[in-house]
Amino acid sequence: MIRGFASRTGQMLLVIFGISVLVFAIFFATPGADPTARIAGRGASPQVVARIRAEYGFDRPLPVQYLKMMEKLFISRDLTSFVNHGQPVVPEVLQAAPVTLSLVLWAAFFWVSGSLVFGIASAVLRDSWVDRLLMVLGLVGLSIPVFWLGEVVNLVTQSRWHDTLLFRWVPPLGYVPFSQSPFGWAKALFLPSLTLAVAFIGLYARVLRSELLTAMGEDSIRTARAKGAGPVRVWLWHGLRLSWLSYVSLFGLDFAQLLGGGALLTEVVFALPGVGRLTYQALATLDLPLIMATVMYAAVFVVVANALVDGLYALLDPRIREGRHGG
Amino acid sequence: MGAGVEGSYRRVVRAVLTRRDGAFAALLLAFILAACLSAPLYATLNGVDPFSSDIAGTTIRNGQRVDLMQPNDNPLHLGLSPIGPDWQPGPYVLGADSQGRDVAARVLYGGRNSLLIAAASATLCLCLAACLGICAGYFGGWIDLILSRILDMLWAIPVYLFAISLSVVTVGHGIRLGFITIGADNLLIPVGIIALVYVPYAARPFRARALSLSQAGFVMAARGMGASDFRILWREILPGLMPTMAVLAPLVMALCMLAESALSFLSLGVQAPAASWGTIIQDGEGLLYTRPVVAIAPGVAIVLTVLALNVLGNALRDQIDPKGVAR
Repeated sequence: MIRGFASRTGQMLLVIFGISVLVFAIFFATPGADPTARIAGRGASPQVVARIRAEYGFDRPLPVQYLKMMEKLFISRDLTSFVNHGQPVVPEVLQAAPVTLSLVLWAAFFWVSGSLVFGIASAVLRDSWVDRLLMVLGLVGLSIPVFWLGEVVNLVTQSRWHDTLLFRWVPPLGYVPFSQSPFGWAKALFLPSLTLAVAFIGLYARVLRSELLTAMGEDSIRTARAKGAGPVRVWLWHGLRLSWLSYVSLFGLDFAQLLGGGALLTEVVFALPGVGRLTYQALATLDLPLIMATVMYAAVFVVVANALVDGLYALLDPRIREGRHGG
Repeated sequence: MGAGVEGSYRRVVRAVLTRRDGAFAALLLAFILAACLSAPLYATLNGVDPFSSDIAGTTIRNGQRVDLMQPNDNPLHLGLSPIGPDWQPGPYVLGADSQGRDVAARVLYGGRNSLLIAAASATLCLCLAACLGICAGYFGGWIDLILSRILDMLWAIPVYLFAISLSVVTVGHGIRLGFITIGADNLLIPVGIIALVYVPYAARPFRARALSLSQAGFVMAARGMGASDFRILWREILPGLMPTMAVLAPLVMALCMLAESALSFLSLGVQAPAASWGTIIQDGEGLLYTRPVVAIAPGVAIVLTVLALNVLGNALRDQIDPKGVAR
């Protein structure tokens, strides 16, 4: 057990190292581009360019540059944005994180509850019109670009039908911190998180349905039925127990990806000042240190989250713990 | 073997096209493709130029010549808004955008870029993924270990952040590889970026398939007869991957289309004056509350295309791979 934990941690550190090299290479070793000019931003003076070159060691070999950058990002955490008047990057990212976390938590709540209801309903009513309708709706949900859906939601709730009874409660775009007003926080996040959740509800309902239907062919289900378990117990207890593993692993991955910046488009459309919107604003000024910081933090976060999910898995499923997974 | 394979392809195509969902998806795709291909027809017939701004221009509505830029409806008639849709065949059927360009023409022309980029990047992505998947699955051992780890690593970076990072360093600069220079407005750049981002997703099923094929009887037999690795890969493994390819192609193209629209929405994909559905949605963002059709029309086009691709992919999967190996 302890050896397994150690090897998992070792692997995770290796992956983090690999990712940091990769991200560094994308930003600073892409052929045909001088990173100094990019960090300095558009129209920087020669003095600034020279200072940056010395500070980041761009006149030194690539491994030295890599180490300098990692030190600035994770150890001294004094990476500054030159476009944005020397604003330190790391605190800015940390400040935006709670907004993203709130949005993604709400979205996860919607997509788990929605996909459970729809997935179970269409598995139980398999091949009926309800099943077909739900699965078609799921596909439609999967096919909608989230930023466009957000704009349509804004159009309907902020402008066209804002004055009707249905949408009068919708607050103007933006974020309200939980500490300021819990109710305002929930109101501000309701529509954005629902928009973000739509595609996931579609995907997860489809996955859950197919997993449940596969599970229904298992011997243990037949045994449970033979022992006289009612349909509710068969589906919700025995069925879900057989199908929740792949659902949970999928959830872990998507949740981490969204927290790591996958919610960017939603944050931009609904003007939520999270990590994704920070990245977006940095895009407009080509604020390279800030973009690299968010990408790096996101990737590290996703790796750690994946390792946690893997570990949780190993705790829950003895087959994986013994290393007999995959076959 | 050739004739048999031909026959089975024809059977699959017929089976998909006689299903209700398959026929619907194929028809919808054919319609969208035909509409986008006939974009020059619409533009020349109606005498509109979708790529140059025409703020002072006029058009004919109900037999009267009217300005493209109309005074706003507010009491003081402050500011100008582009003319709205009249839903009558003829020029400016969907109205004009903020530059006085015909929205319908732009949606049709933009669709060509969206479809082209999605198709090209899906093709490139599947080729790369198949190569990597074959190498990892067939050779196994340390090659598999290294390739799988690298792909896992890439998959840990949130897809859109990965694409944004790659775009940020290429946008406005292009790529210089030795003597090859790819300009910043070249469509190859978004194609390459989007293809690269989805390689880890598509490589996994190829690897699984190559792994199981490499242990199949006919591959053992070929190896026993002294066939070289290259001959086995080319003659035995590659044909066996075609079903996986067929199932993945529409699904990956759907993902690529969504990614392209997102990148273009963030002004990191197709560069002006060229258009794609994503850039038109972004153009329409500023007009969302006054002329929503500018943003809604390209979004509807994306949803329909992606939906058709997803439906087609699912129909193909049901026919080719009912047990769901390629997912």
